[in-house]
Amino acid sequence: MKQGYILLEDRLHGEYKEAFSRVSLYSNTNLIGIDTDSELMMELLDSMLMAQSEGRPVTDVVGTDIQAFCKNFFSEYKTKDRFVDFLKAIYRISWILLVFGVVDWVFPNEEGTTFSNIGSVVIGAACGIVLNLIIYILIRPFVQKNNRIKPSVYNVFFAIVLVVFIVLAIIISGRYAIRVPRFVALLIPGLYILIFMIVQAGRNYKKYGSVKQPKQERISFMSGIFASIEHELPQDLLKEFINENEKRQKKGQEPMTEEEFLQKSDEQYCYRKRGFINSILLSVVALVPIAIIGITNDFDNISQFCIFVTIMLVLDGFLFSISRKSAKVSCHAYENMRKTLKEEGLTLEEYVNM
Amino acid sequence: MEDTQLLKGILEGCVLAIIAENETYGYEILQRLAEHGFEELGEGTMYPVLTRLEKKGYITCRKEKSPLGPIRKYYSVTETGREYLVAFRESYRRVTASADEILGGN
Repeated sequence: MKQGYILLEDRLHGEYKEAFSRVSLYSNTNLIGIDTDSELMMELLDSMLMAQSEGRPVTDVVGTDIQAFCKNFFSEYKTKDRFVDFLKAIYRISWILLVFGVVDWVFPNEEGTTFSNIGSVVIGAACGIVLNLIIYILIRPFVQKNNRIKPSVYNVFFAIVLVVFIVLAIIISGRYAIRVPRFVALLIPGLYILIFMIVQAGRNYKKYGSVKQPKQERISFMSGIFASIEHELPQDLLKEFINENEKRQKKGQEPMTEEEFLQKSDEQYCYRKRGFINSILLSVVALVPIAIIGITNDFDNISQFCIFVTIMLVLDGFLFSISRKSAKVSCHAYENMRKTLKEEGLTLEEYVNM
Repeated sequence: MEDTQLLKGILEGCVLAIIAENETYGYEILQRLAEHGFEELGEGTMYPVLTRLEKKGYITCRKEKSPLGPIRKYYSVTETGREYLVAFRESYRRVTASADEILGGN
């Protein structure tokens, strides 16, 4: 899964965007780990945006040979780093397994057995490994030799292959169950998580003098989304303003001035109101499915129902928090924009083109 | 002998010296290198150097949002990095002094 930088990629134009996509394609086909990919691509994006804003040609950044650039750029990503990323991936999957194991324990299947079916996980993991091998051994050399292959074409191809593999995994796991005692389904991922966290704590202590990594701003998918909201808000407002006046023109009405439009938007982007509306909507979205499932399902006892409600509330709480944060980000971006427009006497179009 | 071979030997030291002056980021380091005559150096060469220096513990970084949107890594030198830089400067002086004796005579 790509991280936040993919949402900021739209700030690049023309040859910069093309070059960045090619580097991203190299990273995908060479199976560069998510964390390393995210860090390096974000740094490259920053450099490219700086160079683009200074009007420099993209060859100043990536040279004339993209493949050679990519080989150098990712040259410090060694086999040891790949192995560490593989272990991290298993750590993340283990958490999913643990959650499923707990759910399976709390809500046993209709047969009432003490076994869990881990077939879907095992087969899914096997399909993932096979897919990665196909990309690395077959697709990577082909893409590297053919510079004409567009990154967007590769992305569509990859999406199709991924869907095929997912369907295959579902069909195979439906036919072949791999049953293990329920405690094993919990013990194995649990033990792996514990060992991984202990090793990670040891490494952190050696590097930072503390078992925890120092808190840093993470390059996360959500950071990318929020940065994208900030960037696109003025552009969206400008489009809305232009569309509004076109509609008015068609109806034979007086066009709105920019100030009238922005005063109307002031209310819409008031955090208290926006945050309140989002909170109400999400509360409804959160409670309705809980109520429906609670009514239609047969829970053996009240504690099962309580655990179900807790799990649903935790998931909905997560969505709730993202929604409130994005409302906050939108409103904050809007306030900053309004302040800059006022202080510097700019129009909305001038602000967007800044 | 190509310049790239010479450059490989001294680039880590040069980048570390720039970072030791004050906290800085990738693009700025490249600009500083270009000001001192290394105009041909690009991101493809420099970022691996930064990764190596970080792995060796000579530099550390903090992340902050850049004015243009992406999160930017700001690098600063560690104590280990300062010690290495002192040793590097000493080695560099010795090597260039010896090389000047041999090459300067022609």
